[in-house]
Amino acid sequence: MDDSAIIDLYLARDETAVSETAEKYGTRLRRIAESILRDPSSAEECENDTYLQTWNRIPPNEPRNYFFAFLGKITRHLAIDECRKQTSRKRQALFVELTDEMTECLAGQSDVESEIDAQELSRTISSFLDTYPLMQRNIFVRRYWYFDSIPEISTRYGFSQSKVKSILFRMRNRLREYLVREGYFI
Amino acid sequence: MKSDELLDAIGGIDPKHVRAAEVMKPYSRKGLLTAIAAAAVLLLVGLAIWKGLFVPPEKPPETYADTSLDLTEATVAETVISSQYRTQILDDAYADYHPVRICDSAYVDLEHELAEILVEGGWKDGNGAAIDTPETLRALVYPLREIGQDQAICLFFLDKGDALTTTHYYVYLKEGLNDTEKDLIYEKLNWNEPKPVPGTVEDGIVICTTSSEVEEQP
Repeated sequence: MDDSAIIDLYLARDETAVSETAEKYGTRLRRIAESILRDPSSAEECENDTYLQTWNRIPPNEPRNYFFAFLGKITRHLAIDECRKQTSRKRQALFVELTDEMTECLAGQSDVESEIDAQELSRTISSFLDTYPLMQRNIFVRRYWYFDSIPEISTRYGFSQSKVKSILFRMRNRLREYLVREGYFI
Repeated sequence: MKSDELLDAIGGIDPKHVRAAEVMKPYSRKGLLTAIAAAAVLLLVGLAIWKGLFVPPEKPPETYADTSLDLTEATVAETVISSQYRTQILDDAYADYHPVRICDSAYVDLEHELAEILVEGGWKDGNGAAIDTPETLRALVYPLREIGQDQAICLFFLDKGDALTTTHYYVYLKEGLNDTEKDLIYEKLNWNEPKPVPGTVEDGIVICTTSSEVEEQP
């Protein structure tokens, strides 16, 4: 069933919308959650919560042209929240690693509380990605949106792990410069 | 700002980036292995000829596309030689655009993706009848720089076809353009040298006779 038809089921409050969503995207959503949580049972719970949140959000939303991104964003947020709830000892190594990598994108002593418009920041990051060729953009998204490991990205695109690390390192530095230019670290 | 906030914000990036990273197929070593195997075979044949151990067979007679050819009686080789790979865009908005040739990415306005569409492609015999089941491929549509979308568009395939790559940019022209309009487009795309290479398209036909002629760019 195509995405638009599934959205119509949600809008009609037809519960088969959930099973259709699970059938089409369940595996991929579970994979995103597992990448972050590294625990199949927590990932499954996260997947189910995603369906509940999707049910509550459509309507008013109608993500006909970006349904998977819409679902994935919910799963990703739920999994990250779950990860944050865990004690630092139990927190997953990959999540800690990615948070550390993100620190490199912050200028100077900017890792402090401040008022940030999250949506505006997302738009700024999207504009930053627009300046890159498709392949580099995808590597960045696979790492920081899908939470893929370096070996997974390396296998996916046929690059050596050192090349993937080098691309990401350069992109993080450029992102920091970009954010400074956009006035995020004043 | 905290690093956590940055990680959260990445979650809200434009869905087109998420989709692009999702649909781009994992790298396959099949093409590289095929090339290595072909090179090894050529090397062995070359060595055999040099040593006088192998006499290549005579070239078979030319049997290029003859519309009167009765393919039901044709040998496999004749069918392959006379077959052509043709594509048809399935989305209504672009159904009357047809492939011409590939172009350099510099001519493509990659910052303005127009749509993701489905294209049906398949081998047809000299009479235009399908030889086997056609394949359905996903492609991104982009406008061409300095050329109106009502005249031409560019397709970047997300799925590799039997005679289409996921690395080239394929120009599709709108049906019904006159010669002057076509010439102007060709000029803008710097198509002064009309030599097609295997895997490109010319007048709606992919220039190759077997899928092995289509190679991905590195």
